[in-house]
Amino acid sequence: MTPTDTQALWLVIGLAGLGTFLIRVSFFELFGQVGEPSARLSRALEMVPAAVLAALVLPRLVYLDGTFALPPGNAEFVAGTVAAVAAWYTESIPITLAVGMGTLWTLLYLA
Amino acid sequence: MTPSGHETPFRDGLAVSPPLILASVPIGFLYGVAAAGIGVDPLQAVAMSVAMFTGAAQLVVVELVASDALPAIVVLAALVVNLRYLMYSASLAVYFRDVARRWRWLSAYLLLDVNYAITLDRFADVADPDVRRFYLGVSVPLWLTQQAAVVVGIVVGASVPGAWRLDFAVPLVFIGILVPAMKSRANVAAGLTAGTLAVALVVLPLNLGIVVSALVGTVVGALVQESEAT
Repeated sequence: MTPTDTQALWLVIGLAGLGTFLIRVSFFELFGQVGEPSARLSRALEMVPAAVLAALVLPRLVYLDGTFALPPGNAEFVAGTVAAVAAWYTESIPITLAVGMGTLWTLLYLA
Repeated sequence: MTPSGHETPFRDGLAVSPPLILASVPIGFLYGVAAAGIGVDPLQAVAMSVAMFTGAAQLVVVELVASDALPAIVVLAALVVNLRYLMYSASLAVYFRDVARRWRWLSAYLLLDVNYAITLDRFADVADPDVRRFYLGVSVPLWLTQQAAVVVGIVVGASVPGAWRLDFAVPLVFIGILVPAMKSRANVAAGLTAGTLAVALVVLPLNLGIVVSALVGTVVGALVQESEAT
């Protein structure tokens, strides 16, 4: 689907919205009928954000227009790496954003 | 004075919301900018934010729609990212047990990481009737400011030239969330596995590579976690 595929987008909005609500309301409604999720499941679910975000970020950084590209041709890879370092030390999303965008703009300007 | 010492629980909720709002408004703003940036109809962008009301998942949706993913994959990814709300639902359910359904559902709809955490933090006594009002006091401003931020973001995103590459802000936010989490071995295992696998599986159609990598990464991370616990 493309961003302007309005029909497909309504479908996504409806299903993602409904699904998310069902997840949120699940135990509110099932209270007492279904036991609490096991501690093991809770711990396993904690791993999901790291896995999903990494699965989205890494390909985005190493592929340029569909082809595998490392620096010096790939400015986003460099900007992403610098931002990652900033994120490691500052643990601040705003700083990570500023550093990453700043690096990208600098590299694109110099190119 | 009630068990937890709140005289005006709803207003107490309002009073603690500002720092939480400050933390979540940027994501809503960025979502608006990114959605407008890739050409999503403003009405649909707002509708999505109202329907989902989850910052990270909305960014994931935008990122996937921008890369031409199938609707089924987009929905699946959003729900996978939101699975952690199962835990929040389980923990908070007991507080809302005796509440009328419409308030139960409204409260469930408004559930986020931040109001979950602060409610659990403030209320040890699950029978305390103040919980519901406090929770709403925290959550209603969060919802209002979030939607406002999205609208502002859409307006800004539509007027900023594409050359500014604001689309890169979404992966940067992901990095900002992901990297600090890499300070735990299990998360490193999950992230490295998912990331490298996703790079390798880019050839798979329908963005299946992302879903498969995320699942495998989660399992690997969970296994590392279990091995550390024993």
